[in-house]
Amino acid sequence: MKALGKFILITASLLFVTANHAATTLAPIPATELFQEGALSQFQFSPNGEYTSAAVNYPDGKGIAFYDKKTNEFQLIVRIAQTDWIKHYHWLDATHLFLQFGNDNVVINTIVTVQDDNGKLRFESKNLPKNGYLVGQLKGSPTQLLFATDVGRSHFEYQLYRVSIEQLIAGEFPKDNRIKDLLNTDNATRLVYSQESNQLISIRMDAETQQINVHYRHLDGAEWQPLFSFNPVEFDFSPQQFLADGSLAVLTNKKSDKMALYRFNVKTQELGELLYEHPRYDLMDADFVEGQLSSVSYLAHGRLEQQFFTAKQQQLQQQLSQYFPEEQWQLIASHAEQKLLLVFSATNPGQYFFYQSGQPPQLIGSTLPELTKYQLAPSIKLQVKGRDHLEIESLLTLPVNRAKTATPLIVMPHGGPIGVQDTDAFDPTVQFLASRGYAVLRTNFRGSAGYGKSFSEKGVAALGEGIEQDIRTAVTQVRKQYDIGRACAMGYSYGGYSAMMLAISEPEFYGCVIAGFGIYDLPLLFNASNLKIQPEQRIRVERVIGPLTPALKTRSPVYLANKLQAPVLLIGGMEDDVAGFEQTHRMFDALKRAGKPVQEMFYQETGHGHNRWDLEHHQIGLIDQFLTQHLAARKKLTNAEQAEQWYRHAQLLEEGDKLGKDLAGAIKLYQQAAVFGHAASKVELAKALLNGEGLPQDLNKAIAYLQQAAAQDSAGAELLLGSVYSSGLYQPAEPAKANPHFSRAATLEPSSTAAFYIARASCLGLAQAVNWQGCLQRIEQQLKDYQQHYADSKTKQLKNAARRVIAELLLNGQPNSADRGRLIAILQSTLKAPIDTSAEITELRVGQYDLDRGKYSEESTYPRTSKNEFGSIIKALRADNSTGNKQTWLLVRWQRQFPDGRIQVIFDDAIPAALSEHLQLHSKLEYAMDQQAATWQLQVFDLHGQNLYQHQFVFQ
Amino acid sequence: MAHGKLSSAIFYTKHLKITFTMEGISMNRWKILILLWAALLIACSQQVKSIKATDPVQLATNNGYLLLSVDSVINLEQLNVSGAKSFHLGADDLTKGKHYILVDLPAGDYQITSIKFNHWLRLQLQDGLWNFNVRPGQISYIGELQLKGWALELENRSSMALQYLEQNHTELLKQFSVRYSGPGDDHYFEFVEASGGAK
Repeated sequence: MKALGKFILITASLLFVTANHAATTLAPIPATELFQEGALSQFQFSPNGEYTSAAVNYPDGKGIAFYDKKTNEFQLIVRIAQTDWIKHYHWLDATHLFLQFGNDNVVINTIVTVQDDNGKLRFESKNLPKNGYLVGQLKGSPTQLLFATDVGRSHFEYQLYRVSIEQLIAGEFPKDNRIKDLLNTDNATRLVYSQESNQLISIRMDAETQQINVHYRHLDGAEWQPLFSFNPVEFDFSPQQFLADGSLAVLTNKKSDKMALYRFNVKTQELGELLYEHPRYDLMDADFVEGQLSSVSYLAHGRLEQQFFTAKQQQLQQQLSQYFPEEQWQLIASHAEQKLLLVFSATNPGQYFFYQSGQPPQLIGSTLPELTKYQLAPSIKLQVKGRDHLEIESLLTLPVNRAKTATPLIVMPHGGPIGVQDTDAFDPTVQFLASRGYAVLRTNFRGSAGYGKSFSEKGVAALGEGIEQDIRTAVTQVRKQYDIGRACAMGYSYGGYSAMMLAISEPEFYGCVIAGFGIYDLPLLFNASNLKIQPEQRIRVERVIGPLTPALKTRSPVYLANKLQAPVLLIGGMEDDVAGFEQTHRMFDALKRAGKPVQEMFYQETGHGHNRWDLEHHQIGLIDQFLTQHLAARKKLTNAEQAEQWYRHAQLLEEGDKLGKDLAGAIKLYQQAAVFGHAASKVELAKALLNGEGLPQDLNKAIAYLQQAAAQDSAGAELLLGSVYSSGLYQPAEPAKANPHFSRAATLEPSSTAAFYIARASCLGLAQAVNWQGCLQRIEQQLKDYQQHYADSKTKQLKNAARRVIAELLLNGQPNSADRGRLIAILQSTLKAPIDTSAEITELRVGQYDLDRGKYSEESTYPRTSKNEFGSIIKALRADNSTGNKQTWLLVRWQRQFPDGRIQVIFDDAIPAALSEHLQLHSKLEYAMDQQAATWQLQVFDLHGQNLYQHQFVFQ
Repeated sequence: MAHGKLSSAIFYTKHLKITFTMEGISMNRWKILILLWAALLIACSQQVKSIKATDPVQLATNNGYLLLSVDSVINLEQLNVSGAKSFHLGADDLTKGKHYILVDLPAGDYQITSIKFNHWLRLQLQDGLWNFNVRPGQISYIGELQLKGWALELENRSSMALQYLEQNHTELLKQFSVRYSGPGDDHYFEFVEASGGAK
């Protein structure tokens, strides 16, 4: 029985482990599932091994989470906005974490405290009040940290302090704790602390000489000693660890062609004993355990390989190779006998496992769990000799559902061209293309990283010649061994240049070119601007391109445009300051003048690539369309795929940030997509028809679209139908019709704002019995369940909807004092300070507001135009001076009165107002329904419904 | 999330760009903010206005056309140029966004000397980085002056300038050839002409 149980357990574990290989579908993988942020990363054990923490990104929350082995679930301990990411974090001691998160523009340092309250964990996060960074942590207890805090006014200037966790949280940096005699305190210097040797290390990049200078000293000493100096242009130098004899283990290619492991004598500043060198590949990493070299790692043919030197490590390697024979793995963390592993490959985006010797690995989770249902395409390693006998490695990916003959091929040169390499890890673009029937070839041509200095140097000045010859040689090999049909060349950055040159050199083989964010005029790189012509910048260009000579023109696609036969998809970022947008535009211009077929996609406010996933989806969808047209692995996109791409494009046209605003164009695309049954497009058309924006206002047509989309289970459609029937804006309110739509919206999407409208109907007794308790509980619960981070758009949407509904309930609902108190408490939960419930209003400005000039003009009647806003600036003063409160809530109502006397409430809102603050309350004749003849009225109330202010706006 | 890369060796890092740009404008942000200039200095140069598409084509002997574009995130008050003729461009031609400016000037060497943001704030530009030449009987295109945040750069966007001329100044293009006359060396206009493109 026991043996059987063990057998079942082992089998189950193996199934777990090999989950990726038992995929069920060969369908084209949607871009949204390939191109997205991973769900898991940065796993760590707490110092005593009690907790396992990770950075998580799930639909219901993003941040740092604890993993519970028993339940296989994550518990979020720190929540960050969906638009931020965890930069890094680490455990300070058993109950404190240091966390740094933010985005491209913001960095926030935080300390998280973990408290165990009789088995229930509680977490408290405190953002650090000062800018700076954590340099290191001293050995021993209580926890002492070294923090570099920014004391500069106009520019970054740091001072280093030894502080406790409490002092850091409070922003207290006592003078006596300052570490004196720092070498440099500016932005070009970075401090690091070596805990093992109690040494401070100062790393400085000299902007003029380009030299990196590193010094060190004992933490409490004063004299700095040089550790090492080097110019990264000449060679690489990466310190790994101080060794027992005081020397430094470094990875460097100063004395060798490859990055190898050496002993560096700090006193003499000389490289000494060679500890390890791989004959073919640059080393990436070296680990030491108790002063002994335990492992080195490198990429061999793009695949992570590790050499282990201790018996224990070699045993681990042997054990894991049985469980993961094909995949690559990395040891992420270990505590006692427990290990955390990351396992990955071309077909596995990443899975994390617990591992303990003698037991099968236990899966924790996948970085892209949605992909486990697809069969991803593995890589085939190819090797060929270039024309000068240089060994060139390539990775070929064949589609899992490949055609029986003449498989179309996409040749995809990487960027760089120097210092970059293709790896045998998961690549979303490769899998996107392979799942659509294309083979993909990626070549580590001369100049690629990882193969030593001379291989890298052979790429210099080889653009358009040696590099593309290497790729051609690899393609020839593929064509000999596999049944390949036509091809397209596709690449980004340098890859865009290479794709053009390949197609120019072999017009009979390349049926199309896709080039993005590329360079196409080599001499222009030396002459791009008044700053880029400066000698230092030109030298940088020369180090890659070679010297500026007339011959560069003969290798520039701009000047060879008339030779290009293949149609081109040209993609660029109009704010690209790496390649320069003129490169792309000039290529486009040259192709147009030469009468060549070119389709352009130029993204506004975009640099050298995208920083939004929806733009990646849009771009790859465009590429898919283009390839289907010109390379035809499949006859055409499915209707669903085509509709989705139209919808994405329409969204960008409507938004107007990345593509020129074009509402008419967007509407046309929504209409095309709606014909193909796209539900979200129908919802957008309904909005346009309701508002009279882009289409003539037509309530019946709008409802028809919404009903179709609702039948397709669109929560958005159900919500909008509910609004149409409940708001009274489009037609007289019919709550009996509205309520079922709100209910269905909430069922389809539990986080929907529909919950508030369901509650509203319940509080106001709209086509149902009045039930204030149920109503209030629903509002409270919805906010509790679905509020995420205050900066997330979904949370803002929920809060705004809640405020509007609460405002209406306070004004129209006639709640008793207990219910009124509860409504106010919901509003109050978003404010830290207590609420003052009344105010005196002073009008400061009123009238039509000219946006360009920022001025008001008060008239007796206003022009009926959608161009200008109108409204008031008011100031709220304390009505009750007995309290010291500085905040209050005001209820704002906009309504209009028609000539027949009918009054229609446009909307209610609850606004937090700091007393004495100026509040700008504006509206606009934005939509078709706003053009009806009516007088508009702005009213302001306190929380008791007492009218504090009103003003009428009469229109011509 | 950039897909591919151009070697960081070719292109300056963001850090260096800021450093270099700061050198290019020869002072740091704080100095800019407290700098005050006498109105007298402004009175010495003549304001010129950009030629409109509807203006007649009349070029004096030994004059040439200067074409540049300005792309700024804020409204600018004045752009000052010294050289064969000292002149300045005014606020009407320097509103925020991207605008092409075409003026006719005596042929010769010029330098953009300073930019005035408003009544109190002027940016003095470092010598040697903002030079250009206007050739007689020609349209001399010098680039696009980009002001984004605190970075200022004169960038060669010849292909876009050519499109602008073809769309807005066809008559001018029939009579005068256009050449790049900004920092560095570039012959895209000549290439287009030789291929049978715009004059």
